[in-house]
Amino acid sequence: MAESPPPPAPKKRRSRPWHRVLGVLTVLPLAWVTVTGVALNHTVDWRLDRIQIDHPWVLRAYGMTPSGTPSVLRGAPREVAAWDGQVFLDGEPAETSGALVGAVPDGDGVAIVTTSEVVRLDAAGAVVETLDSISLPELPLTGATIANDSVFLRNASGWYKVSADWLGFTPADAGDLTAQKLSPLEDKPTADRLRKSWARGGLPASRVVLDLHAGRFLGPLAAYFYDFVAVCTLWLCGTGLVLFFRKPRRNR
Amino acid sequence: MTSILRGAAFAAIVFGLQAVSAVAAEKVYEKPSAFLTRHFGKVPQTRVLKIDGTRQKQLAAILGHRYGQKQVRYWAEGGKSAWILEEIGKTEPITTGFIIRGGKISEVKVLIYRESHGWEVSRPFFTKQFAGATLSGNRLDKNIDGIVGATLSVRALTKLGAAALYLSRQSGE
Repeated sequence: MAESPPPPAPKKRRSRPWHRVLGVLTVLPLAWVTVTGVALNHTVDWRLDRIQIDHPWVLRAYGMTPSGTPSVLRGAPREVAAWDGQVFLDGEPAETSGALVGAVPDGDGVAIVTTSEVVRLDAAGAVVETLDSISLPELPLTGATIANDSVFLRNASGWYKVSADWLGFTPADAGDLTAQKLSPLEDKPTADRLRKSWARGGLPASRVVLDLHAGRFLGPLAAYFYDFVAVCTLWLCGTGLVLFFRKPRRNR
Repeated sequence: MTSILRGAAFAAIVFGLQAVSAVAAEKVYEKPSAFLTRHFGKVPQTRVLKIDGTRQKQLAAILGHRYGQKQVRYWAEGGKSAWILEEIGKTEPITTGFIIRGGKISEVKVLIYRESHGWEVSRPFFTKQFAGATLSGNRLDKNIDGIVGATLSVRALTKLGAAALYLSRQSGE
């Protein structure tokens, strides 16, 4: 009597271990994307578009940190500073172009002198007028000072005395005129204030959440990482379906 | 072959970026001082017109936004006045010179153009349209034909033309 062949070995089931491993692998990225996605969905409700984030880490990540060191103008009527191309008046960014040269009193306000223009501001900081090449001695301006209640500007040709209405510029003897100078700002609280001001208050929280959602902080790897997570998620779904529809062996 | 294609693509991108940056660069068509000298023989004495509340309100109606300064400089001699004004086209200010004679625009010249698109407004075929225009309400009394692709620059210059006429009227020149 011939022996019957042995029953085939039961097929090894791999869905459950794969499902468990993929579940562990994707739990963090999926939770990340889900939570940030929900936040983005409620940007207006949660006022994320109005909340400004100005933490140094965030500003550094977005390149919104000024380079170099801040400098402050000694002898200016108000706090006038410059940092990485931005001029500040009393800690607030001033709309000027060119490198800061000086700042002199101008009635109740102040006139900020740069290499390429003079911006006259009133006491409230509103622009009275901006003087450019057509209204100033030959540019670039290299110095500014105040002496005997008169304003003096300097260019490559020498010093000019400025009329009270800023319409006339009379060549003046240098005499003992000394141009205002920029000095390094060493006061850390003021530097921190200027850093925040340089970044114009920071970034809207919605922008940061969007970039967290899109994984932009991961650099060029972000796309591949998200591809990997997507494949894992699809695989997770597949193994989940197999587990759902599979007949347990004990029920056969 | 692949490396050649990659090299060509890289060169195209670099060339494209340089071309874009070149187009976006500031273009000085005429220095403001040269504009004044051409019309007056020399730069006349600078005059100032204060922008008080009423004028600010009227300028806001013309420009569609608040005028950014509390006074404006101009030059006048021999029955004509020159106004050098700025208005943003899309993102950058367009510096434009206007000559006003007898309450009418005599010449418009784009002095400095900074936008990447719309430079065609600096061409004489466009600026000649302004000649003889006067102020009618808050607008020019003449229709200024637009230029495809330069809509915002055309709009900026049209508004500036009306502003120059208003300021000239206010100065009494």
